[in-house]
Amino acid sequence: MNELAMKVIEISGQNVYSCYQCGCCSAGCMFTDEMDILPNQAIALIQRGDRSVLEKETPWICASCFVCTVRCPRGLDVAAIMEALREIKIRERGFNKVDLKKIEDIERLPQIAITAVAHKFTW
Amino acid sequence: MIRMKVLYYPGCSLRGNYQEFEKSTIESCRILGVELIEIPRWTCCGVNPSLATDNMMRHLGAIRSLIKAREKGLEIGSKTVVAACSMCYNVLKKVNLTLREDPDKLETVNSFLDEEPDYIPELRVVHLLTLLKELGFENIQRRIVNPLRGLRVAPYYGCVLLRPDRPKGIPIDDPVKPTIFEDLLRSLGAEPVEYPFKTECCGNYHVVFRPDIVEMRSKKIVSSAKHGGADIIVSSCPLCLYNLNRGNEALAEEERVPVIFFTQLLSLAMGGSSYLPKDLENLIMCRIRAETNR
Repeated sequence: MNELAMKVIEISGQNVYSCYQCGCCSAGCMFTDEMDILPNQAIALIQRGDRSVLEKETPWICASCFVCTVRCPRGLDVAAIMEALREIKIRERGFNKVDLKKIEDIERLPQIAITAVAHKFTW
Repeated sequence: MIRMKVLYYPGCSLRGNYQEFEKSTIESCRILGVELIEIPRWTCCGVNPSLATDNMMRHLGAIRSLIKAREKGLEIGSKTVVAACSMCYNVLKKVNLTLREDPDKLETVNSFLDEEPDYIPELRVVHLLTLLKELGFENIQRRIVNPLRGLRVAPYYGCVLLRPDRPKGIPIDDPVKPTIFEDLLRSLGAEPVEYPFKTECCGNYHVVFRPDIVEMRSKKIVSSAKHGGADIIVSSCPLCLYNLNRGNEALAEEERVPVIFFTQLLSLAMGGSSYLPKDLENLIMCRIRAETNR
């Protein structure tokens, strides 16, 4: 098992090797237009230990809507795998995907949106 | 009349920008004979729960609230925690189920939280819709003084009422073909609108840094409801409501559909206040009167 897959499995609790690349996750995903690789391709890169997956936009575009999770025929929590990819970056102390000081229109936004962004995008 | 007390978790949105949601929730429950006992000193639920299984840190806010809920529950004789906000429901439910099913995580949490008493996961977390279903939609129907006849309502489930499906027990209804919202709307006399986007994602927190994604999603959802003939969309999530309205802003005026909280219709139908802006309440009342006079 490669080091990257081990890390993803440790964080997500999901056995990424059970993915057989059917593409159900990507077919159901509502955000693929904005992604640079498809969710199933991200899993393929993890299986191969290809760390370039950590530099892709895909995990950050995932909005944790869990359509992939409820549809995966292998029972994988695909959203949790995306979270693991984000977490690996975020756990590099000091890494922030976004700058919370640059939120526009902060008074108008729902509090829960801002809290969620802080959780998902900053360490 | 039903008389019961349940533990109530308001959450930040109901206390902040979306007070009409809380007011209509409390009023509806009062009419139905349900007293909502607020959890003392509740804290933020954490919104989108961390999906990392090796770290309980981001669940602690929810756990602290559950500990306080349990204490209060012993005092009032209730083990049921109700949340009206979809996000709060999802987080509290997930965390409660996780601690119930995983003794190791429960031990980790309890040994870390040394200022609070240990959490004993014996509470039951429910969404307000589930509580209403348990009270019986037929009992709600009996209390309707203002039937919403002729009003075509598109229920918007969004994600977190129905997903994820693990730990088992999070979805409040069938995740693919839910009907709980429709059943409630029928009991109010309204006509639920069927449309294919009712369980699709509005774009969630992306509204903060990628509002373009939210607009793209929300326009599709609102247009789909409009296409189904909706007069109005109801939601139980403050973020969905905000996001769908961002979609509305990006649509031409005749393409828009107003979005409100489902409790506002519930309260209105039972003779309470809707806490809606006057123009929106007028729109609803006109629709109902037109149908009644027909």
